[in-house]
Amino acid sequence: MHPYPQNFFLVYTYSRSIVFLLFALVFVRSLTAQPDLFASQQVITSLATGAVSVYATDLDGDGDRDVLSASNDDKIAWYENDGQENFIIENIISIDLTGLQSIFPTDVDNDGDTDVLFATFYDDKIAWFDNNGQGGFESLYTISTSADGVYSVYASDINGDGFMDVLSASGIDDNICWYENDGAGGFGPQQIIANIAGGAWSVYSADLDRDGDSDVISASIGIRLITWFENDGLGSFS
Amino acid sequence: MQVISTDSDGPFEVLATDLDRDLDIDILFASFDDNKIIWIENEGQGNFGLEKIISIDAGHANSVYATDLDGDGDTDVLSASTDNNKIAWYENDGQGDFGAQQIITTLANRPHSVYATDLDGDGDADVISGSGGDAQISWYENLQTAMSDFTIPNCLIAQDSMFIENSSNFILWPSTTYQWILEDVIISTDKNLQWISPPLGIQSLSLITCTNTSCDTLTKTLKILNFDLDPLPVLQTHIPYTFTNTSEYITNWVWDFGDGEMAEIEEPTHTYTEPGIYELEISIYNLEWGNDCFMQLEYEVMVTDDGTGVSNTSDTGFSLSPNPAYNLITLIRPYPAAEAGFIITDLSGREILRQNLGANSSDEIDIRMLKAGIYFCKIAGSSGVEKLVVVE
Repeated sequence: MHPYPQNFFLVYTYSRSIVFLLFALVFVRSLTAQPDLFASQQVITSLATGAVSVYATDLDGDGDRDVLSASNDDKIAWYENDGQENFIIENIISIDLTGLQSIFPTDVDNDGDTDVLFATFYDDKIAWFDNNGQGGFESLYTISTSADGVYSVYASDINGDGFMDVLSASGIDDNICWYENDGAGGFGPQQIIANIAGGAWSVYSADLDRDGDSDVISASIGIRLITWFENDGLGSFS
Repeated sequence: MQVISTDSDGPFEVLATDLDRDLDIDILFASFDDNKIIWIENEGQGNFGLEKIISIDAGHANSVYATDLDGDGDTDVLSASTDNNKIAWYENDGQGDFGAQQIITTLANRPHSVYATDLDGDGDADVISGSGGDAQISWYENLQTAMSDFTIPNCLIAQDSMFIENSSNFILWPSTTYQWILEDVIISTDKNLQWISPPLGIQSLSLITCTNTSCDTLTKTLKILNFDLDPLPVLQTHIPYTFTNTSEYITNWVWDFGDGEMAEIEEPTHTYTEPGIYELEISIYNLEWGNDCFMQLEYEVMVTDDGTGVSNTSDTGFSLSPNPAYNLITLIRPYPAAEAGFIITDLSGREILRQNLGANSSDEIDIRMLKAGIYFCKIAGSSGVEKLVVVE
């Protein structure tokens, strides 16, 4: 029995929630700087003078992704991934591609490996190197030499036949063009999608209207224009 | 030909991908002359909206790339900008709103190209850059790996409900899974641990964090004791009171009664000689669990001359009129302090009304919300209490 008057009342019940509040403060972590998502730079090569384009894809069929580069020293090269994140060997595909502007890796001849498309500005050429499946690129096939001042090359199935057709943007004749792939890496004549006065700089392809075919997007740096061209599914554009 | 944009200042590289997860393909490009990274929403069927700026700090940007970098299922954006030798990325919140520029490197001398894909086979997208100025092709490993982290105090008082915050990973990827394990039993798979009635004593608590590609386990020792002070009545001067309580897993107590007196036993008996409100400070220890297992709790003890809770000293610093009252009282303070709070509590100490006061010597207090009965009034932070009788 408490020896006190029975008419007590509580003045201040120290509620559990208030005790909790006290301890919640303990949980507040000291805010440290967020570590970066990415590690510091690891140089693969210092021999790509005026590097203009990089990609990574499996070029030698060993299951890991190799690095592919194009540079202003007229060179396309690739760097083999040894599977241990080392890129030690520079494999030169070519060193005499004067005016090299753009590359794009894709399976051009439908043989299951990744070939390399490229465009050279001065000779208006779009061509591709055939991969022998082990990363050997001995054979060169020309697609066109009439893309006057070609800046950009891209590949996409334009006419829905399952093969990678080729797109180009050329800055002197201001044309966006495509070239039909016969499925074995042979290409039909240049087909002009549009002539954009003021320059054709970059070309890309995606289904923008969700009708199942590949539409074409272009960027023109000179006249500050981004446009797209609707594909009717067979390679006619409007 | 359908025009998407004529506003951009030198579109250098354009690509197309779904950036806002509405299933149609949006346009992303680097705008060279105004240093911007911009996207344009496909509003369906190839109708495009206004330009949305991701960054205005990509100095002469001439390459962009888009892929999921942080593993949260949306498409993030990368930029290469030649002026400031910078490769950077921008986190997509999933709706096409992008976070601040996050720099990957500023060492790529005049970078002309950026790309990302998994190079080291750990399931996340690493970044590759090609820079014309230093003739380098470089890569940057994506460090997205699981890392468990949480913080608990040296020891804890048992709570009805406890919250332990998960501080795993610097970026919490939605694909990340969590398991909270107490002594081999999974108690939660939520990110943070909200814990109802954790058991007393020493136990091990583990957090297993897994991303798509890796898992990490962190185990900590949880020490939970129990201390619950029985509700304090209003004490009366010169009458001893024993501070009864529930103590479990506690080896030492230090009581500071707030009047200069101390005690070091579990249930001390103490007598206050002067009326007032005292800060009671109780430090509890479990020295068997380590010297760092202690906590300090603070309580207020009200002591009056006669145990009614109403001070008969004149140090309240205020008076009330009328008293009894029914709708309005006037609070008179001869020495008003600025920014005081006036508090009315019921007999149990529960706050019923609080009104902020300016530095006025007289304030009107509306008490129409109070039911008939007896209340206590005080100025926040001071000890004097006046009894207020409210009539219908």
